[in-house]
Amino acid sequence: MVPELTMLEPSDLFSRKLLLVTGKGGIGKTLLTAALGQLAASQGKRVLLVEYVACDQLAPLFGGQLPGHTERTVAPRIDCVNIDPTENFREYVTKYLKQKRLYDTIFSHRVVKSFINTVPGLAELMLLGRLFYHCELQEARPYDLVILDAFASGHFLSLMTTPDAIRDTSIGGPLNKETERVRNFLQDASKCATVFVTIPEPLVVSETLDFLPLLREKSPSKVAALVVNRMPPDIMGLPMEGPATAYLRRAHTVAQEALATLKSGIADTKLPLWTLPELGFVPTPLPGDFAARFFSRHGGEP
Amino acid sequence: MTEPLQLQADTTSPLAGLIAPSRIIVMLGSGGVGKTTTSIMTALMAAQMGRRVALLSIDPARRLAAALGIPLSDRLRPILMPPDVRLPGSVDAAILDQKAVFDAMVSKHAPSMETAERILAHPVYQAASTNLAGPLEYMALAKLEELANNPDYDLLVLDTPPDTQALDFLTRPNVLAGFMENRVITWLIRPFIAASHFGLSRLFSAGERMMGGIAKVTGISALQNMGEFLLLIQEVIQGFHKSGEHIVEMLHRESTAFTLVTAPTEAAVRSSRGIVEELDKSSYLLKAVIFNRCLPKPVIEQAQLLATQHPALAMLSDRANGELRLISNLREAINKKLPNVVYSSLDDDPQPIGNLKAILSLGARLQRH
Repeated sequence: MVPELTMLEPSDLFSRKLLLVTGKGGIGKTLLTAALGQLAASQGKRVLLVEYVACDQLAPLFGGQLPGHTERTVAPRIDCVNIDPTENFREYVTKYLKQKRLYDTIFSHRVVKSFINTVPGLAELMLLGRLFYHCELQEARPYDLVILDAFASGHFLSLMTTPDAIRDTSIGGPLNKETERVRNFLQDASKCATVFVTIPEPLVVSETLDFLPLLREKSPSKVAALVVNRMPPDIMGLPMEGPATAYLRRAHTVAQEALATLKSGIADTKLPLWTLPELGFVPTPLPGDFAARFFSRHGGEP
Repeated sequence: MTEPLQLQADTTSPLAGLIAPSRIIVMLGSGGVGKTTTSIMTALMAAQMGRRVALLSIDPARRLAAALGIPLSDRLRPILMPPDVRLPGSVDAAILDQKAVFDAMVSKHAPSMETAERILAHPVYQAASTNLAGPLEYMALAKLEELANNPDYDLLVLDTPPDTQALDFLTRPNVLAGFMENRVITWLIRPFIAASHFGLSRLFSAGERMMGGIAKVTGISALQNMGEFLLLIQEVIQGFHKSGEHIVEMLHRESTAFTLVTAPTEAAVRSSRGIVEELDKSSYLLKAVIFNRCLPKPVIEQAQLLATQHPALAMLSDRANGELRLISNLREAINKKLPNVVYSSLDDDPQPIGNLKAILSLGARLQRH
């Protein structure tokens, strides 16, 4: 018997300042980030979508110009930014610490790049700092909601444990205070939430079930919703047998089994779960009503 | 139903031509495209061809380690083949986790056992090696270099980390050393060298002003721990530096084959284009592209034929059209610069691939594209 799960509407998440979307690679984190952003914007929120990748993925979904390191408006009330670790560090030093001369004398571009890449956790800490800034400190044209298209699970956990790791190195000093502030923000469930995305494939589901307790134990930000993306379509009334219908039936069976495993695996967590449909192919740029249609098909049962 | 296992090499397989002349195969691709499975498949196919393969993989989820029957470790171990499978060659695999590789690197390059132990026990090291995201890519390359001269293996297959942000690590594998050599670190370390000469009271005198600057930058006021650590790790990193140039040279050899693993989705193809450009910028040679998770041809045909009869078939038909367009677009883009790349594809199968036998039979299903 599959237990009943608490339902949660996507828009119930929008009272937060920061949403962190994570899950295994290639299962639709970016698309979900974009869709959540579109839905929030349609409800009047001013939204910033953040990614942190070599190759821009979010802005193209809106047909926007490539955003690069500065926030750019890609649709009404939606800004996108792809944070570059090197630039982010430069801004931290020159704008936030107001130490432009110091920066210019000590760091060349090359040096900063290796500095950022080498000091473990520094790039991660700077990213968290930047998110904190947009959520809590930015005064000019502030955002109502910031959504991070976050790293895949393992790397995401590293990101979230960075504040604790910094504390454990006993480096101490002002850095610790800054880190503590960010940590408290992440920990505040009324301000920050993690959205965990998975798909109904047995291997991915068992990884999810292994990973959720780790997040619960180690991450300051708690998972507020579990999203099962790419639920295969209903197969009722499929016409004659053939390769395509057989493929659909098999996909349906595998997905149903995986979903059942997932549900019983999280039964004791009271974690709200939504399912979202397999879309086949997502054309870009996304149509203006994409999120509305995508989420209208969500549910506790496919 | 079990498919018959093909234990002899299929010389017509599109990958056979890639494997035969290669000493190193580097698998690249964005997350979730099946890169790890494809890497294992390639290693097994090479073993079918009689090669002695070392497979270096990264698997944060640890599922793969279980499937291969080997523990997470930087030590190569023979993979656990099902009893009814015998291959003319062999596959030893190491599933790298960050801490194991870090530890091994420290032990190898530290000037003495005592220094190694002090580093391994240091709080900064412990936090960095276990909790923090680190340059795993670089570590994997260091391992690759170490194996290059090992006579036990005649093919190295490197599965790059799933989350690789950029291919930076391929062009500058000595980035760690660059960092050690630049002024920042010298200034960071100098006070501590002085401190060890004059006692801790003089700690902040020698490079005090610069130390103050760094402290402002990082917000760190008590840099003692970090400095101590950097001092300890200095030689380790210098050891790694010597490897850097050698690695770049190795990766540029004709016998090194870069292979792109991708899937027919907008996001994967966008990343793939980025990877191809990066490779080209550093004059690394892309030799093969594998499209994973493609809808099987008969499925496409029926779905297109009956698309109007059921929403599920319409969805499938949409997906098929999108896939075909993406595949041909990517091929066209690559073809302009690299006309000799070999393309192959693997059909999508909703059934999960959980063991070696399944991966082995996957190799036989690889199609020239």
